[in-house]
Order: sequence, then structure tokens, then C-alpha cells
Amino acid sequence: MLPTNFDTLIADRPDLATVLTGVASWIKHHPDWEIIDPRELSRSLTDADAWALATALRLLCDKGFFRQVYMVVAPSGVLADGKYDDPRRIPVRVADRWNQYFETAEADIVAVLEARK
Amino acid sequence: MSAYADELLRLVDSLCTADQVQALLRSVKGQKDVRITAENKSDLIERNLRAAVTSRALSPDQVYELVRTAEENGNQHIFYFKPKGKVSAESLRVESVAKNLWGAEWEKKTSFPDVKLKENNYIYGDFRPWNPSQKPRDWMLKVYGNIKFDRFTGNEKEEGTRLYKEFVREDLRVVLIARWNNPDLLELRVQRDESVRRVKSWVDQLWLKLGGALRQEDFLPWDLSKARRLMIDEEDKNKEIYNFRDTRLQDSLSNRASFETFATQGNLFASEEAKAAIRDILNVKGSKCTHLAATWLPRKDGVPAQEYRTLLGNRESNEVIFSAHCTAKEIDYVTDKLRYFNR
Repeated sequence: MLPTNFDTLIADRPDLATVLTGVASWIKHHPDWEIIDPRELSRSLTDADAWALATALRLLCDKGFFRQVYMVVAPSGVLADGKYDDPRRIPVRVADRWNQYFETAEADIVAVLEARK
Repeated sequence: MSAYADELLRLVDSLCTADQVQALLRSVKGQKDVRITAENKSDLIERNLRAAVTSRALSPDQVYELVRTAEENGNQHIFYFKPKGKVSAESLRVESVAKNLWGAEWEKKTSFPDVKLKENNYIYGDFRPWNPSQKPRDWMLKVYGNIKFDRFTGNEKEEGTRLYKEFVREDLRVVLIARWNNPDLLELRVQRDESVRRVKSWVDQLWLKLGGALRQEDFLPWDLSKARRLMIDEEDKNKEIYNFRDTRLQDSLSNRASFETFATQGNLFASEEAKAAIRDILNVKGSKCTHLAATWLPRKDGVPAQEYRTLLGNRESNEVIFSAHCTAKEIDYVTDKLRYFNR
């Protein structure tokens, strides 16, 4: 599971306590996920202020909890296999979940957060 | 360095990870001219590994072993076949197959392993018992191919009403493997590729190369429908063995329903509503599971060493896609589980 203990961060930034607690709660509710997709997260945390959420995610990266990588959205709307440090390194074609290849130029590319190793 | 050793190093570069190369170098640590660390993978192979081979700290056979493991196991489509009753056990023995392919004294006529390629051609690369101490009746035939293909670079240029797309012609090294997995399975392994036509042509090529020893009409595709169904039915009691990421179902009227986790490491049955919906569809007579992405969970004995994903069923019901490189033991583990669940 992704990291969920943000206590030291909350102590430093009490103004982000609500949103950081919300992020930790969302991660616990998705124990199998190895990434945070900010689009899904913001859909779940409907009460969170967008600016505060963006700031919290940036802080979690800056403090070494997560790193940003890029993934391709398959035509069915789920994430395709493969994480890329640089979106320019995404192949021209990638496979969906059923081994059907599609053009990444026609697909959405999303920035997601994974645990820093 | 011989041309053979040069070719081996080129293959190590394209097929093996830096960790695998370092593990090999570590096995001869302390000998003359053996260095483990390098700034990058290229230096690791061209400087460290080359020096170790030149000084004979490592033999070309040891380097070939590294290549062999990487190219034979995983990142493949495996098509499983079962012999029909009329195929005799004798005709499937290592010696019988070799004699039927290359004649008597075949060992003198062949020089396996042979890693060289012939342009636009398929050649026999290796033939050997698979695991003589544990399974003396198993064997493996390897075919190397070299084909040209045109790869789209993604670059496009527009001039007036004409649109130009840039393609580059590249060589593709092809590794095809037939493995007899005694007592009942023939595995045809071909590397993953985005072209469905290429994958099919490679399976045909393997049957052609096996032709002198085995006839395609004497084998039946091993339909894995039962295994997919039973794995879903018995998921509750096998939680420590596997979980599912995606599945595709076909109902009694041939309608299709796909279930996919959003995240790539997800567990589909963690969702109670997905589990109930899948079981509701499958509980109707005439419905079936055509695709199942199963994640095999790591075990204490290291097989699998980490989570390993397979797609059971793809275009063919006897087809399994092994998504990444792995060990021979890991593929055998999955095959043995499929034997159990396809009962």
C-alpha cells in the first residue's frame, strides 16, 4: 500500500491537515493501488479545495513521499501498463488490457504519483 | 574475442537487465579482470563483461546461459497443445524428435547452440533436454528468425493536401520455442508483438520447423475455459495463490462484458459489486469467461519471486500471455496450476 502516515507533514502545515488526512483516507480505501491518479482523487474528495489539494500533492512529492510519473489511458478508460518518467518517452503504440495495441497520440496521458522507492 | 562472443554480448545488451549481468559477474568475483560496477549498462557489458570473457573468468557458455534464460522465459505468448491419443510416447522422446528432424548422428550434423541469424530466414538455434535431472523426457527446440519490418516513427509531415508518415525499416530478431512438457503438453512460445498477424505466422513457422518430428494435426489446442471458470469459482479459497485484475465474459446470448480495475495493480475481486456481477453472469448456463488477467502471488520458496501477471485466453482459448520476463520455474509453476484448474 502507498504511504499514509503524513503526521510530520501535518505538523508542519496544519493549514493542509484536512486535505492530507483526506488523501491518507483515500489511499487506505484503495489498498491495491500503486499510484494516485489526481483525477480520481479529486472526484472522491469533493469537499477539498482544489488549490489546497494541488498544494498538498506537490508537498508530498517535494518531501519525498511520492514522485510524479506519466501513464497512458487506454481506450476503455483504465490505465494501460507502463509508467514513464518523461512523457516524450511514451511509445507510439502501447497495449491495452486485452493486448490490443492503440496509438498513444490519440490517448490521454495523465500525471500520477507513485511511492518513491 | 570470437564473432560468437561478440554476438552474445550484443544479445545480452538487448535481452538482459543490468542486474542480471551484475549477478553473473558477481559469480566470478575476485578473479582477474572482473569488475562488478559500471556507470551504465553499456559500460557494464562492453567493458566489464567483455573483459571477464576475454580473460576467461567467464566462458561464452556462461554468457549464453544468461541470454538463454532471458529469451526463453516470459514476455511471450504460449500456446498449449495436447497430443491426440495416437501420438506415441516414443515419438515424443528427445532422441526420437532429434533423429526425425536431423537424421541419425544428429549431434554431429548440428552445432547447437547457434546464435547467428540468417537474413529474412528462420533457422534451428538449439535443441536440448529441458531439465534432465528432474524431467528427463522434456525437451526444447529453439528457432531463430530474422525479419524486416517497417516501424512508424510517429513523425508526420503535411505538404498541401498530401500527408507523409515516416517509417523506418528495421531488423527484428525472432525467438520461437517449442517445449515438450511431459507427460501431456506441447508449448509453442513466441515473443510478444503488437502485430496479430506476425504472432500467428510465428506459430505456423514453429509447426513447420517441427514438421519432420511432429504433425500439427496430431495435436489439439488445450482449451483453458475450465481453468478460467474454476479459478473464478474458487477465488475465495485461493487468495494466497492468485487474484484477478481484469476479465471478459460472454453471456448465453454471446453478449460481451469486460471488467477492468482502474489501476494497473488492482484486485478486481476487492470490489464486492464487481465480484457479484461476474458471478451472476457466469451462473447462467451457456455463459463463459473468455479472458482472465490473473496475478500470481509471490511464495516463500521464491517461485514466483514477485507478483507475476498472465492473461489467460486472448485470441485463442489455449493462449496465455506471460507479460514480462521471468524464470523457467515461474512459467512451469503457472502451467502446473493451469493443469490443476483445467481438470
